[in-house]
Amino acid sequence: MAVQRQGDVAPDWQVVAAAAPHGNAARAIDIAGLTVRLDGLSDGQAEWIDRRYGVFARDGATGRPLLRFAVTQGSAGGYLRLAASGTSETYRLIVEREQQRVSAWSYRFAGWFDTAAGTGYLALCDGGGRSTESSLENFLRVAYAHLALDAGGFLFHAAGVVKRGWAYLFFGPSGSGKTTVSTLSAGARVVSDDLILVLPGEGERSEAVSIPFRGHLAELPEAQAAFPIAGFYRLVQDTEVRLVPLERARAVSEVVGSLPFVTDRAENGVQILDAVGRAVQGSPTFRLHFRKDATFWDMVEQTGLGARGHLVPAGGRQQR
Amino acid sequence: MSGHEEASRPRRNPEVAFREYDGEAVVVLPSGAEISVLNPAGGLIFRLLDGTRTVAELVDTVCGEFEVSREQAEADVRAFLEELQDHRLLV
Repeated sequence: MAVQRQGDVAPDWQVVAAAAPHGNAARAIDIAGLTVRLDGLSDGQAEWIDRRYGVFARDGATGRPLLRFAVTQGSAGGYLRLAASGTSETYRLIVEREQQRVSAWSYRFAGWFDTAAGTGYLALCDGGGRSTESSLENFLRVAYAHLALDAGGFLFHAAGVVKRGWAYLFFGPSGSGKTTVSTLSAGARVVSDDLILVLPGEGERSEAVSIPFRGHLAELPEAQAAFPIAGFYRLVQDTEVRLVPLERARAVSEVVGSLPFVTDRAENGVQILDAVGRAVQGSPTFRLHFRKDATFWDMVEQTGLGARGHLVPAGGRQQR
Repeated sequence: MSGHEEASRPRRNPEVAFREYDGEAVVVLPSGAEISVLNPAGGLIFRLLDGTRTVAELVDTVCGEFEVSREQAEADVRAFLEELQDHRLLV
């Protein structure tokens, strides 16, 4: 078990399951029909979900969830230990998978779910306010990363910008320019500057689906919508602007490098390669060399037009 | 070169996921930290590493598929297997 720091406490899953709920409230979150239900919430947690997830939040009793979680009270001391005060660290999150069972834990939460059985538990430590809320959201991101794979898609660490109904997905490691590109997209709709859900579309082309897990720039979407993907653009900061098309294998390897939570488990490997392979088959992938002005858009849009012929979407497809 | 004698039957790590796209293979290492793209020759050999074929048979296959001398094919196959070993892609 990947306990990496002195003081880290691996969750006892029996204790997680047997712990008391926070309250009697329930909510569901529905993203493009991928529905997760949370039982055992306090009224405050349920209200926060309504505010945070807007049109994605549902009454707990509606729909048929793919995953149903019992939310319980976490261990008072938490699980992973923060670095000593004054030391900055990257957010630590452990994700393990054994067959269909995925477990994830961090500083103030520990949970697991079984995508085949459709059930799971989430222990949230009391700490109140933002600590509890960010714990819940981080766990939901892990859950949706796996639900997306089961749906033939993937959660993608990328900035999604919609222009004329087409989604342009810009990706790369931290610092590569996702936020910069988002800020240089005046007149376009930034769906997210952090995470995008990619799901199979109605034709060959996959769709970028609006999600409530957003970065710093994007607003909470007012409606659920899906946009056909014009292309995938791997960001490279440069002094000149140019687009280099990538062959499919290279495109897959570049895109797979930007999938959060799932690539460190070998069990996910084939699902990942199939989902990404399908997506880059339907939409072209490029390495985009860009400088910090909006000139890249002319080139990006032209290439997108060439790739998609005369098809013009009608502003995205609203979802149920 | 030790480890990959002519009669040995190398086998790829069953935890390694790979898929071929238009002749090239993409391999996701078990750690997930690295993703590799193999060229057509690499993809061909990797696909055949099921533990039933000897190194000599792998060299024969490469000679049959590509215009390359046996000496060159042998050197390439051995170097490739060494590289796979280094990345924990063989068991």
